[in-house]
Amino acid sequence: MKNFMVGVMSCLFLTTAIHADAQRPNIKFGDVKPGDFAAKLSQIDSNANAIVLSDIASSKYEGDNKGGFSIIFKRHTRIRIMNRNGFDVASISLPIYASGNLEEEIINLNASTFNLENGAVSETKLEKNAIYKDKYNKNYTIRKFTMPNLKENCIIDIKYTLKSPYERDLRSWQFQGEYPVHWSEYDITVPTVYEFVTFRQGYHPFAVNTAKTSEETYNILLPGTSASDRSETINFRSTIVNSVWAMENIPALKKENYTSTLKDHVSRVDFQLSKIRYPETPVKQVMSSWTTVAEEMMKDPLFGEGLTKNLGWLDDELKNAVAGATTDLEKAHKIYDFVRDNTTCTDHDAKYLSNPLRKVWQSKTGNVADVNLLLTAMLTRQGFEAHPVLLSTRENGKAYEAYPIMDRLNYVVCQVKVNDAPYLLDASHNKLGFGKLPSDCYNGYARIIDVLPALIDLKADSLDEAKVTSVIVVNDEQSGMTGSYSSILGDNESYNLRETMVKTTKEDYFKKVKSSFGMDVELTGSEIEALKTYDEPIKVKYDFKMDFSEDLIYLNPVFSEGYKDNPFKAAERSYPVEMPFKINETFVLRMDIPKGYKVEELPKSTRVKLNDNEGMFEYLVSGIDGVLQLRSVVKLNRATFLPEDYQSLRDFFAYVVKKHGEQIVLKKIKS
Amino acid sequence: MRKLLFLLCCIPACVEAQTYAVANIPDSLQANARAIKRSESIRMTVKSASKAIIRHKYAITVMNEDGLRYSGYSGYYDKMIRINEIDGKLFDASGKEIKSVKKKDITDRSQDDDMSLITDGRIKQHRFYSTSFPYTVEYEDEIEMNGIFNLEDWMPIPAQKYALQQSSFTVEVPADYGLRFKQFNYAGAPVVTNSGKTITYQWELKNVPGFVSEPFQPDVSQVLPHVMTAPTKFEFGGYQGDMSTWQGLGKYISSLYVGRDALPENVKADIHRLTDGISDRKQKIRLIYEYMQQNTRYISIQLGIGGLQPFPATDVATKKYGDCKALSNYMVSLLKEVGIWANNVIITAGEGERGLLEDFPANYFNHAVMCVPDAKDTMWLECTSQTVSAGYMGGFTGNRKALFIADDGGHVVSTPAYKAKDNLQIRSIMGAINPDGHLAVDVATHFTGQQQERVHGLVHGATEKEREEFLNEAISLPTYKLEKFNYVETKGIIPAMDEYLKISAPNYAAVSGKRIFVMPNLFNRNGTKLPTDKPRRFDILLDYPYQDVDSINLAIPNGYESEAVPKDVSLKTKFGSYSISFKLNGNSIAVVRVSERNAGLFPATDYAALVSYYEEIYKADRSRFVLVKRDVTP
Repeated sequence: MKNFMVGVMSCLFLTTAIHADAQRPNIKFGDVKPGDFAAKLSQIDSNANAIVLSDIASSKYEGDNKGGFSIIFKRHTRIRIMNRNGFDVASISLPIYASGNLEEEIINLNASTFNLENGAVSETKLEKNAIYKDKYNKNYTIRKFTMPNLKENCIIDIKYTLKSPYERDLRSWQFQGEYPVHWSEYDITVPTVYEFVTFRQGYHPFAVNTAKTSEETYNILLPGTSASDRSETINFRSTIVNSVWAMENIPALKKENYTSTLKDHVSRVDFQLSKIRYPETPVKQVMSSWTTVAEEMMKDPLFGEGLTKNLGWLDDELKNAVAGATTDLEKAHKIYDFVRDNTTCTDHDAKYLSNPLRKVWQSKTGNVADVNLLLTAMLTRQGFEAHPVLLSTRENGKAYEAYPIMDRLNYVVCQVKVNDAPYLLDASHNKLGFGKLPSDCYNGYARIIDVLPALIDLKADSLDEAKVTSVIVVNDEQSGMTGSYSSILGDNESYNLRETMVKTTKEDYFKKVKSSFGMDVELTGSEIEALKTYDEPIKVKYDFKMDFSEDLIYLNPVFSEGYKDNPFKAAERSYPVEMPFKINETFVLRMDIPKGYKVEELPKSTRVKLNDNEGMFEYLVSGIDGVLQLRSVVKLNRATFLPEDYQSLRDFFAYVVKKHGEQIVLKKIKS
Repeated sequence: MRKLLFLLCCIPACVEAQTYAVANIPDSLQANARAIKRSESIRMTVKSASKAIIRHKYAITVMNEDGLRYSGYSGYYDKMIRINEIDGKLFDASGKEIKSVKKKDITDRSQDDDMSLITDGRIKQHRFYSTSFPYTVEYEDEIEMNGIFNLEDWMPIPAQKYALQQSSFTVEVPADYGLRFKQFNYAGAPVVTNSGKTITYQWELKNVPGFVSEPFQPDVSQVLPHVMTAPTKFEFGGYQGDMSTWQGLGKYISSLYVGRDALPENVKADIHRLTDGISDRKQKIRLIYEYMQQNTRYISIQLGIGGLQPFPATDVATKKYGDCKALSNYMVSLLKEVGIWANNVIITAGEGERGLLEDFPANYFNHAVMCVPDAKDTMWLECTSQTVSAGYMGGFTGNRKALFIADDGGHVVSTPAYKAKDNLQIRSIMGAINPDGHLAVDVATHFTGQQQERVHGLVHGATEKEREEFLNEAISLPTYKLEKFNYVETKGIIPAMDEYLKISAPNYAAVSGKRIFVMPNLFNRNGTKLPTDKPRRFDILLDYPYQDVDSINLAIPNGYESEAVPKDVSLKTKFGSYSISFKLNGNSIAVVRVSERNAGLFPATDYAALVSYYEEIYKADRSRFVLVKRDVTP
């Protein structure tokens, strides 16, 4: 499967078209014909509530009056709305960004609805006073409107131009979306002043994929630096590269369970500025090697600069933090706990400081970069070798291993070395233990920001979620039976239970356990161990009493611990299965046969493998010498599976569910 | 002398420290509490019919992480409500001040509620981020209302696990203002002082421990202390009114609708073409309603008085969208064109909402519908849905009191109430289990009324493919395949939906050696198991009545006989009735389950009976047949 395709669009070497085939449609705003309403539906359209007939955009550089370039982004989208359930597509939000005096602006917005009435096309224009402005927050204003006069089987045309002063930020393009798309095209024209790396992903082929060079003259107005200084227009002639990508008949994006994010699967192109070549100045390397990026990050006031400088203010805090610790490991541990317990993380999607570290500490709040860079600074100040580590969370999508693309990264953790052993730390979650990361961080790899920016492997396939449960039941002195249950949870389940216990009490938790038993039992000695000891897995334990009197006892030997439902219910799959970790669950039962009973029937023991060696299910049961014994292991050796392997994965769990439903039958011995 | 000075300086700090020290909270209030309101003062000063100032000061001790949601400040404002001032402080457990609100830490954003295309509502928020529980936050704000349609309500305990040390609610109004109020669960009367120029009312509550929510309890606003206030004469958005009677409130609303019923000629022509020559009035209404449904959609735009005043019918006609008021008003206008008089109705929408209280006219409303009045057969129409049947209100707006807007003002009316026989789920399951435990079944279900609403949504809100994907995930069988499915809708005052599913479920029945275990009640298992460990405090609310009938026939493999047949159960209580019978006739399992729920409010003392009722149903619904292979050796 070709998931990621990375191509360097090096402008200098691309002098001729590299590829061209399909005919590019020429679509004019408002040019809607009666036949467009009756066009035959193709395979991808059947069942669609709306069809994007064409979505065509371009980004083009233009000289501006501030001495540089602006980007003119034009987009024309034509959508055929098949029925009422597709009407939502006609409510549009256009976010417009502004920061300081650099503002994006919409310089042109036209939209119309077309209906076929008595064989003729009628047009209803969007009125200007029906375009609303919502000042969403400090940086974003949202232009909102909804199309007028919508009817089933209408066509809407929306065209706008957005002018952006952010010349380094070339808009990405998504070919695929919630609805099927007949033609999606993106045309960019970039002066060779800017060199971008292009990233393409998805499974759908290009219909057009061309690049050609030519020349163009840009008029740039250099404003005067003072009142007396006149502004001056310069004519700047540059080689330009024009690239066009288009796709045809792109099916709608589909949501599926166990996908880390759809962002990884959608067909799109992204750009990253790599070099700037201003005339008569040396080439400015914007994106280079990880070594250079790491070096720059370490000097960046919004990242690493404060990690080593002027940290005297931390000394008192550190003294408090490490009080009582004797070994280095204890000290590192205490500093981690100190930061974790005294700060609140309000944004888990950030890679730059929102405030200088000292401010972060004073306010005790910040984003994940604030918190974990503060942790890094404290550890460094204490004398440890500690470095920030950058990564992209599962929700944010895959990051490219080879390219230092900051836009793709969204999370900062910390690596500390104690007695040469490295530990990855995340103080931004208040119930995480020392040396543990949230499963959302296991998304491929992470990058240490240091002189040698090493790669750290963080694959979900390497994360083991092991759970061991054992139940022992013995005949007691009287007529009944006494059991004891204990379960050591995996890291992820421990974390989730800790979160759950914030909102519930131990009593309520065990009340639920009791009612899940399926028979009347009495619970005693119930305990959730290590609930607040975040470095350790949680152990849940309790004792129970049960009584049997019937002639026949039907007993499920996995109690309520078994799989009752197949986690993979859907019959089909289009994307890979991406579970957050590898499942490894062991359940062991040792139970005296109740006094006065004998085994009438036992389920069959079995052991099966999933696809060679990708998983294993073991169900071993015996009933000899007055003792029932069962061991059930469900184990996957990987967390990700290709769509081709989906059916066997589904069958595997169907089999687990079947075996976990089987019963032991015990019969009263007739006296 | 130096020492004395030092002491003197210290005194104010100590006094304040004592105020919010956690040690000062009585133990009785700390039990069950994730947050404790230490003190609160709401002072609403009504200056005139259109102007009021509300000063709100409160301190909340956040006991643990579960109480975090009460640790911040959130203030709403729009074109007619201004926030003049926000102030706040953070105190540690000992009551020592740690921090205060800085202006730059107050965020300001648009309300952007997902429901609306645009509103002018905005929200200012602030939070101190403290991790050392318990701690106390104190906030104070002043809000200025320029236009009054609502006055402030007082509900000092907002939720469960929330204790209250002290709260007071003071309302000062001009002497001739005629403040009206209604108390719930508040013992005694307000303290009233008359200064000649103004009259002041004060309510106060002290030392109320937190409570824990109970299943089937009525909404907190009905069981906790609550005071509603409302004006007599008021002015909002430049329009004046008097809401001391429903008629007056209705008159105000009606004045906002004046002149908004004109229709463009093409729409008039459409309507006449559609209905001229049809004599049946009901049929006419239905046709026009369907025309409205096909030619509009719901888009909410709430700006200023637009929260109460509809877009003109002409706008709806040309843009083909509108919000609930605009669409209802449009429908009223359409009917008027063919000489059918209909009325706008404003209502409190939402599942389980109880609607307006007849004895206390005030603004309860969040939605608009309309109706065509008739002496015995009033037709109710929900105009924001493009798919619902004419005449059906359902759980969203049914079974409650609402305000009917007429030219002479408002009238309280009741929307249709649905009975158990209106809300049916009649299901027939025919199938077979093979010796491996595989199940193959045909399931035919007839849903009506409130029980068809979910299916209605699935049929109209999803494509065939989405429906298939949904059904392939949503059915409560361990592993299964949906072989076929189909839906047929029957429109009507009580709409119906027939569902047909063909399902195969491998390994549904557990097979252990010579035995097969079958739980024949495949889909309708009551999941309610009620806790019994604490004495019941609140009354029991069963919100809507319904009836379910399940007839299940499952063929079993040859050569098996029953080792255990479940016991029949039959129960009749004030909460409803339930019966289930199990038979093995030859090679076929036959189960009939009939369950009917009565809606109503039952006293807390009935709780034990409710628990045992549900307990028995829970068990009976999970009854199993054990089939064992007949011994073939003689």
